[in-house]
Amino acid sequence: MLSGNPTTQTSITDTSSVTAINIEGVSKNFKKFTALNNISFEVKRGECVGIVGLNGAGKSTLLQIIAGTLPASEGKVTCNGKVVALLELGTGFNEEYTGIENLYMNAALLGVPKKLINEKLPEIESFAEIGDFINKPVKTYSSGMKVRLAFSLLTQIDPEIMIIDEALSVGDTYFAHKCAHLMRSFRKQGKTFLFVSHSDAMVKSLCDRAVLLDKGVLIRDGLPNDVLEYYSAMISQKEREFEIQQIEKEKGRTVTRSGNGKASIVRFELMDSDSIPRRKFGIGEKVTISCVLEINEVLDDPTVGFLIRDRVGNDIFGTNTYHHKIDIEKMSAGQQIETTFETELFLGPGEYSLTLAAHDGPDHIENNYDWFDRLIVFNVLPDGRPFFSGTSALPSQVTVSKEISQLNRLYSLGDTIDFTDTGNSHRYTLQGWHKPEQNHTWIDGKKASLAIDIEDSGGSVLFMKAHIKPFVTKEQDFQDLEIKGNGITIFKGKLERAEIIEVMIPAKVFKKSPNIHLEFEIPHALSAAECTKNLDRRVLGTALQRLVIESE
Amino acid sequence: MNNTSKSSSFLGLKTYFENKDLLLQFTQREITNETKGSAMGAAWLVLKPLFLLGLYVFVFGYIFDGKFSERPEETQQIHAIGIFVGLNVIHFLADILGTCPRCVVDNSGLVKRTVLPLELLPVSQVGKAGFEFLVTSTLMIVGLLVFGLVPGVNALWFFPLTISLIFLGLGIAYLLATIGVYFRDITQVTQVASMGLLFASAVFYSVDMLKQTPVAWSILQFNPALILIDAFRSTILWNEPLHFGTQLVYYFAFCISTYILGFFVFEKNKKKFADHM
Repeated sequence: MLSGNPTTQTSITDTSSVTAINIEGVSKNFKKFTALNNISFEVKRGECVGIVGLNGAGKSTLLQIIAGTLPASEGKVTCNGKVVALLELGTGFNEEYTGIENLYMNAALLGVPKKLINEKLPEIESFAEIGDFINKPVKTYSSGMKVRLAFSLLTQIDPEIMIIDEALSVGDTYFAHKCAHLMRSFRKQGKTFLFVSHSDAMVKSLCDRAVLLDKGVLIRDGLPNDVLEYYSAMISQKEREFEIQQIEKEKGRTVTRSGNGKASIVRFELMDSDSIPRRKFGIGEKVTISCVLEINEVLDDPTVGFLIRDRVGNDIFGTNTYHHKIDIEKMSAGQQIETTFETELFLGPGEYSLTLAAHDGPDHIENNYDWFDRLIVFNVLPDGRPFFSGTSALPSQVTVSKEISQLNRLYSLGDTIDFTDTGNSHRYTLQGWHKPEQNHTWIDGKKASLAIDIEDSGGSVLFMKAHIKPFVTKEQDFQDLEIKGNGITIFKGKLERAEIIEVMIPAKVFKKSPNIHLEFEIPHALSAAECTKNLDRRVLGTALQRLVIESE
Repeated sequence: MNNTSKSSSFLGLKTYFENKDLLLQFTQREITNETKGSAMGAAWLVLKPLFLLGLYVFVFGYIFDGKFSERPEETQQIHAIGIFVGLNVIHFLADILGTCPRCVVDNSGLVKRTVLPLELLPVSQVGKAGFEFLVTSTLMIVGLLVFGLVPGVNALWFFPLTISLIFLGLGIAYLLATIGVYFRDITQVTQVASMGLLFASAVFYSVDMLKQTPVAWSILQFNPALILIDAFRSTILWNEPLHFGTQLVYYFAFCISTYILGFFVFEKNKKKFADHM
C-alpha cells in the first residue's frame, strides 16, 4: 500500500517550473489488450493533477507505472524527487499483527526510521483516531479503520511526490476531510500530487489540472472544470451515440457540447428586459434567455432547460419546461421552437455561465438531444447594496437596538401574535413531532389557556382574529372548539380545516379585569397514541397560528 | 523503475545491506508468523526443536540402537544427535523448497503496489529457515555437552559450512521464487523433492554404508546435502578435520554457483513479475 522509492535522481532547484514527473510516450500492453497507449504529460513541481476516467480506462496501471511497480512496455517515466505511492489500502497489512506492528512494518517499507516512529507515535495515533484498536490485530478492524491506520503514517513521511489511487474514497466524511486537509497542507509545502479520484468535488477543490483517460488514451488534459465537464458529458450517455465536440471559444474558454442530435440548439441569447443582448447585469436584474431548438427527428414533448453555474462549476439554478409543466407536444423533423425563460439574477457579483439543454423527460441522463455547456458567460456586477458574500443575493435587513425586545408575553393591541415560529401553539408539523415545550405548556388535558395583557381599549369594541388549524385524522375529521375569554364564551364552533375566526369580544368580558385570559376548550383533542401506533401521548387539538386582538 | 538497476552490484549483498532494517523486519515477521496468535508464542521457536530432539534421541537412541561408526565414543545418544544433525540440514532445505515457490506469488500486493526490493521476499524466507537452523544447532551442541561429548576445535568448521549452506539456500530460493511466478505447479514438485532429499542425504544411515553400494554412491556422492551432513558429523561429533578433498571443493563451488545462478535468474525476471500476477 505504501511504498517509498528511495531514489532521488537529481537535486532539485527551487523553481516552480521544474518538472516533477515526466511521462513520455508510455504504453502498456498486456497479453490481450493495450492498457495504455502512448501517454505523455508532465507534472510540474508543486502541481496537483487529478486523473479521471471510467473504470478500465488505465488510470491505475498508469499510476503503477509511475510508482515503478509495473514496467512500461514502451516509453519512459522520470520522477524527480522522493516518490511515495499509496496505491491500494490494506496491502502490506498482515491481519494477524496489531496496528502498531503493522505501522512499523509499513514505516520500514516507506523508509521511515523506527526511531522517528517511536517518537511520533502519539501523533500518529491521534491522527488515526482508532483508539485502543491500535493494539489489536488488524483482522478486527473495519475497513474504515484500516484506511485511517494506513493514512496516519502519511503525517510522518516527507515525500516530494505523492501518488494516490482512490485511497480517500474509503472512510467516512470526517476522515476524508481530515485527509483533504492534510493534502492541502502538503500542497502548501510545495509537494507534488498525482491522484486518481472518482469524486468531482475532490478534483475540483484540490487539483490545478485534470487528465482524462479513456481506453488507455489520454483524451483531455486541462483545467479541472473543463476536463470534468467533458467527462460528465462522456458518461451521461453510455451508448456513445452522440459525438462530443469541444470547441475552443473566446479567450481559450472551452465549451462542451454533447447529445444524440435528435434536436439541436440553433440559436440562443441572453438579454435584458428590453430584449437587448448583454453579458453584464446588475444584481436582481430581469433577464430573458431565449433558445431556439430545431427538431431533427420526430419527438414527443421534448424538454428545454437552462442552468446557471458559478465560476467553479457549482450549479446555482436550473429549471426546464418539464418542471414548469409546459407541454411542447409532438414535434416533427425540421420544425423549430423558441423557448423563452425569464428570471431575475439575484446572484452575488461574479462570473457565471449559462448552459442550455434539450432532452427528454426531467433530465438529460436518459436521452440527451443536445447539451450545450457554458455557452454564455456573463457577469453579475455589484450595485449599491451592502457587500455580501456568496452566490445568492438574499434580501436582508439589519436592525440594531439597545432595547432588547421582549419576545413573548407582552402584546399591545392590534399586534399579531404569531405562534408559528416563536410560540408553542404549533404543536405538530408535517415532518413529525417537535420536542415537548420545556418552560411553559399551555395545554392542560383538553383545555388550553393563554393570558394576554391588553392595553386599555378606551371602551371601544374589540375584535379577535385567530388563525386556527385543527388537528384532524381520518377518524376524527373535525375538532369542536370553544373559546372563552375570562370565563365567558366568545366562540363556539366546529373546525374541519385551517380557518381564520373573527369574533367580537363582548364588553362584559372585561368587567372583571382589563386583561384577557383566553381558554380554548377542545373536547375531541387526541394524542397520537390514540389514533396511531405512536407512543406519543401529548394531546393535540388545534394549532393557534396567529392571533390579533384589535379595536375596530 | 529506477531503483532496480543497480541492485545486482556485489551479487545482491549491497541490496541486503542497504535494506537491512526492512530485511530484518520481514525475517522477523516470517519467524513470528507461525507462532502468532498461539498461547505460548515465541517460546515455540525453542520448544519445537527441543521436543523434536528429545523424540529423536528417544527413538533412534533408545529404540533403534544404531551406530554410524565403530568409534568407542559413539553412544546411543550421540548417534541420535548425529541423525538430528542431518535432519536439521534437510529441514532447512525443505523449508526453502516448501515456502519459496510461493513467496513472490503470495505477496502480489507488495509486488504490484510497492517498490519493495523484491529480493527481500526469498531472502527473508531463507533468513527464517536459517534462524531455525541456528536455534536447532545450538540445542544440538547443548545436547552434545549434556551427553558428555565436548566438540573439538574442528567443530569450528561449522561456521564456513553453515555460511555456504545459507548461500546454497539463497540460490535455491531465488530459483524457486522465479519459477513459482511462471509455473505454479512447482509447489507440487518441491514437495516430492524434499522427501527425496531426505532419503538421498544419508540422514538415517552413514556415508560409509552408502559407499558399499557403488551404484548409489556414484550418483549420491554429488549430493551437496549429503556432503554437508557428513562434514558436520565428522567435524562436530568426531572432531575430525574435513577429509573430503575434491568433494568438499565441489561442495563449496556448488553452493556459490547455485547462488550466482539463482540471483541472476531472479534479477533478470523480477521486472516481469508484476505482469504475471
